[in-house]
This record gives sequence, C-alpha cells and structure tokens, in this order.
Amino acid sequence: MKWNPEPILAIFKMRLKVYSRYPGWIILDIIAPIIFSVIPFLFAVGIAGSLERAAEIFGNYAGTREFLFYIAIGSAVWGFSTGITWDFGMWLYEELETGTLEQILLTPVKVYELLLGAILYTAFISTINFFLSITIIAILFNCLHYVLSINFVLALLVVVLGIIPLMGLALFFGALVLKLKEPWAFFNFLTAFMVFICGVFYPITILPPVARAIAVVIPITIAIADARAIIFHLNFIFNPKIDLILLIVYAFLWPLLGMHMYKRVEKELRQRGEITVF
Amino acid sequence: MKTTEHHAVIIAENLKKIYETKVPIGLFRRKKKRVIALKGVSFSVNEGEIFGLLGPNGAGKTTLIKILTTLLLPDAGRAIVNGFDVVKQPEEVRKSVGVMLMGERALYWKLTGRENLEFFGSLYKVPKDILKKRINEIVEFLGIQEFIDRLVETYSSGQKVLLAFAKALINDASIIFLDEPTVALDPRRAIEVRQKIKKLKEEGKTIFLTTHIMQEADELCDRVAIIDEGRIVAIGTPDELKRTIKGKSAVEVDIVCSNPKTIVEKIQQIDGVHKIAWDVTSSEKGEIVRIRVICDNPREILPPMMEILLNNGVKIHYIKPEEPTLEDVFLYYTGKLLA
Ligand SMILES: Nc1ncnc2c1ncn2[C@@H]1O[C@H](COP(=O)(O)OP(=O)(O)OP(=O)(O)O)[C@@H](O)[C@H]1O
Ligand SMILES: [Mg+2]
Repeated sequence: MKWNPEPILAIFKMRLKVYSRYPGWIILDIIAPIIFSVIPFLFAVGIAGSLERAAEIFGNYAGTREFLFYIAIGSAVWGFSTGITWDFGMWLYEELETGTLEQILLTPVKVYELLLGAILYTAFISTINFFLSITIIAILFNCLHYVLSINFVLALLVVVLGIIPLMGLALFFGALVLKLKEPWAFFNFLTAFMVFICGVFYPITILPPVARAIAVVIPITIAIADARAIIFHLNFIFNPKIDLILLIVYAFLWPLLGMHMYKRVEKELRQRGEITVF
Repeated sequence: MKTTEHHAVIIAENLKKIYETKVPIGLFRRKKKRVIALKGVSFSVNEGEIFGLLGPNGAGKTTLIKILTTLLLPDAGRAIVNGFDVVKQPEEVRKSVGVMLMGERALYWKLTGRENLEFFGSLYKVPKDILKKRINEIVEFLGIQEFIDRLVETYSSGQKVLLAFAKALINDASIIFLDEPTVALDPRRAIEVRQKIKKLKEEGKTIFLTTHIMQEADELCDRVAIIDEGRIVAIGTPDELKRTIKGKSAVEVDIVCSNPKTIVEKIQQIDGVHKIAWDVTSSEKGEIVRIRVICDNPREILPPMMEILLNNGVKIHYIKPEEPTLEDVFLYYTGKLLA
C-alpha cells in the first residue's frame, strides 16, 4: 500500500491554524528566545566586571573567547532541542484537557503519525526561532562571519541528526505526561535539570563525572557540544566518529524506548478509562 | 440475493467493566473505590437496523459505546464490530465506525466547523477531493450551512452537537455510534436529527444509539435494549417489549405531599401492584410528586390507593389509568422511572 502522509500534514496544519489564532503566542515566541540568549551575557559581564574580562575567563575553560556566540549557539540548540522534546507531551496533555484526544484516538491514526505531525509543527516554529535568535545575536555582537561559514552548515546537520533520537525522547515524555497528568511540575523539574546537565551555558567537562555520564545519554548534550566544536574548532564530546555513532545508536534506542513506553501508557489509559480524565 | 437480512455487525458477549478510582479522603490520603459499570452485557445488532440502548443516568451506556469503539478496554467478555475484535483489531474497528460521543468538548474551538471536518477526515485518510465533496454533502444533509464556516467557539450548544454529528459521518462508515444525539437540541432540531438518523438507515447504515428519552427509542429504533445498573434487563422491538407487559395497566398520580417515600411504600403493599416508582417535579404549583404504578387491573387498586392517599392528608392533583407505554416497560423491568 502507498504511504499516505495526509494525517501527519493534517496535524501540522491544524496546530499551525490554532497557533495563528492566538496572536499573543506569536509575539511571545519571537521575544522569548532573544531574551533567553541575552540574559547569560549580562550575567557574565556583571560577574566578571567587563566584557573583556569575562571573555578572558571564559576563554580559559571553554577554549574560545567568543563566549557571547558560544552561549548563543548553546541556547539556540537547546531551545530547538527542548522544543522538540517537550512539545509533544505538552500537546498531548492539551488535547486531553480539551477532550479532543479522545476524538483523535477514535480515528485509525497511528502513534508515529501523531508524533511526526506534532513535531513537524514544533520543528517549524523552533526553526524560525532558532534562526531568528542566532541572527539577531550574531548581528548584535559582531559574529555574523560564524553564521556565514561552511562549518555553521555542518553544525546544523548535527542538530538535525539529533532530531531523530529526540523524537524518541518526546514519545517517552509524552507517555509520562499522560500517565502522571502533571505536565508543568514535571516540565519545570526536568528543564532545570537538563539546563544544568546538558551544557547549555558551559562545557560539560566542568561537571562531575557522574553528571557527565548522565549527560551523554541525552542526545541534546551531544548536539550542543558538537555544534560548538564544529563552529569554534573545539573538542568533541569523545571524537567526531564516536559522537556520530552515539547519535545513530540513540536514533534507534530512544524511539524504541519511547514507543514502548507510549504503547504501555495508552493501554493503561484505555484500561482505566482515563482518556478523558486529567 | 439478500444475505444481509440477519447479519450481525455488532456482537457483544458478556462484556464487563469495572472502574477503579481513587477517592480523596482528607488532604493527601486517597481510598480506592470500584465502580462496576457493566456486569456482563450480551446482545447483537443486525446490519441496517437502528438499535437503541435505553437507560437512566449511570446505567453504563457510554461505557458500552466506548468499549465498542475501542476507547475503553473491557475487563472481560468479547466484542466484534464489523467482523473485527475490538481488543485485538482496534484499528480495523476504528476504520469501520463513525462515532459521536456526548459533550461539546470534542471539537477544536479555534477552528471553523469546516476545518474541524477537514482535520478529522484527513486522520481517516479520506482522499482530498472526496473529502471536500463529502463535507459539502454532509453540510447540506444536516442543514448547517449557516454556521459551518464560523469558529466553533461562537457556536451554541446545539450547533456544536450538530457539528459533532457531522463529524461522525466524515469517514462514511457503515456503522454509526451516537451517544445521546438529541440531548442538547431544542425540540424542532431534535425532530430533524431523528429524521436524519432514519435517512441514514435508508442509506443502509447501521445505527447504534443511546438515549434516555422513551419516545425517541419508541419512534426511532427497530430494536431496543433496556439497560440498568450495568445489565441488559430486556431486549426486543418496541412492540415486543410493550407486549411483554400486555394485560397490565399503568396508573399515574400527581400529588403534593411531604412524605412520598412512606406513601409509595404503602401503595406497594396493595395486591395487584407490580412495580411503582416516583419522581419529584416542580411546577408553578410547587413541588409535585409523580407516582407511576404498573398493575394488573386499575379498578382493583384504585380504591385502596385512594384510601392511602386520603388517610395521609395528601393533596391529589391528578389520577388516571393509562395504556402502558415503553416507559412502563422500563418501569416494569427496572422499578425506575426514566429521567
Ligand atoms: N472514568 C471513570 N471512572 C470511574 N467511574 C466511571 C468512569 N466513567 C464512568 N464511570 C461510572 O460508571 C457508571 C456508568 O457510567 P456511564 O457513563 O457508562 O453511564 P451512562 O449510562 O452513559 O449515563 P448517562 O446517561 O449519565 O450518560 C457510572 O456509575 C459512572 O459514574
Ligand atoms: Mg452517557
């Protein structure tokens, strides 16, 4: 039978339409990533005393004095990756709350179609945010030459490769949200935890070994570190080859794990009659 | 050759469902509570018929529809819809049925009616060109042109129900489940919807609907199952069901009194009274207690009944023997009045 992407596109379009009817969200989505990447600079300058001094200190442990753009890359990749990781679960919960999840589950739509449709939308919005914040920061702080290099394109490829394992993570979290039904508490906790552990604002080499071990299981860590490594000619997590293999392994591992978890939770909800209970 | 005459397209065998819920006691402690929603339900629905599930609130109607449409897994028993097992082949079942559940939350309020239909149609993989045509046909069929291109958030409750009905037709399924389809509609729209349901039957569709409105079941359904407290207590055509209480009569009494319970208990003791139920309605005259009695012969029970009523200082508004209706069938089998 011919593959029919119609359900995936329908979910994408539906989400985009709903989004377009809340003008407030659009403005927030444009402003938030800019603020998110500017705050750490102000912080760094505030602590070190001056921009010059901050760059010097930063250069000693990160390997590049371009800490402004270093952080911008980190937070942009972070924003993009976490968007993809969380958004599916948040969306599922929203659908559960509004009662439309039940209606969707009445149709023969498949889990992977739900996931791809929802994530297509997230990726679309996140890509716009990603380029918007990177470009604005690059112009503001004179780093445009990094963006216009071939290495930047390579770095983007790493980020795109990271999407596949992230989709697995997304399913995993989606299932947990449906099961625990407290998406915000859960979201806040894990966001804080992952900002700390994934090396958004600093290289993970400064973390204790245990934290580093946990960090490399999360594909976001690898995407952030390797994107920077390529752009600033810094060290990779292990080396380019191992990092790539890890990403590929995660690209199978996380989706399998996520699918398993989701199927289990869905069955449990059908058993308990909780598809409309939140 | 017609082989479809008695071809069962929905078969339920001994379906059981128990809900486990946690009831909060105190601030953080919760107690497990079990609600037995279905206690072993069996029946079958033939192709092309309108089958009605009639029962009071909490009888298990929605639970049963959810099991048959794969939203809920049964704890025991088996159900086959369009030849597919609801537990083992859920996807095939979903492709075979159109479903309208109760409640107006089932739609995207930030989309227009048409966008809602397009979205759900796409989830069923209805080809684009067919989908467009079909939506126009459904809109015309239900007469909802006036509001179909408005955002759903601007709809009245009745309009949302009509859109939910339209949604149940979007995949042109041969089996349609409707959970209390007329409950939020005004009388004129309710009559219209009943006519549409009959039209769908004429097109060859099988319709499974739930209702707690007696006239609806009587007028619309080829066969009716009466469900109460998770059990089917009677099943048959409306006429068959009425015949099971043939020779019995109904007496309806409207009274004003303060202790209906004791009075009902006393009337129940009278020889020849089979079932009795009561209900309180308020009118401009105050709270009126309506009592309905199923008996062998009204002539025999009326004198002792009047005696009880008068001895207890009850004000009688109305008392009249009546031909038994489907409502009395319900009362006869369940000892309850329908809402
Ligand atoms: N998710 C749930 N968790 C716990 N109990 C439930 C759940 N859903 C339904 N019940 C209980 O199961 C019983 C049957 O409910 P159901 O919704 O099937 O009744 P119904 O016949 O559709 O009633 P109504 O006419 O009010 O719609 C009720 O006692 C109800 O409280
Ligand atoms: Mg119900």
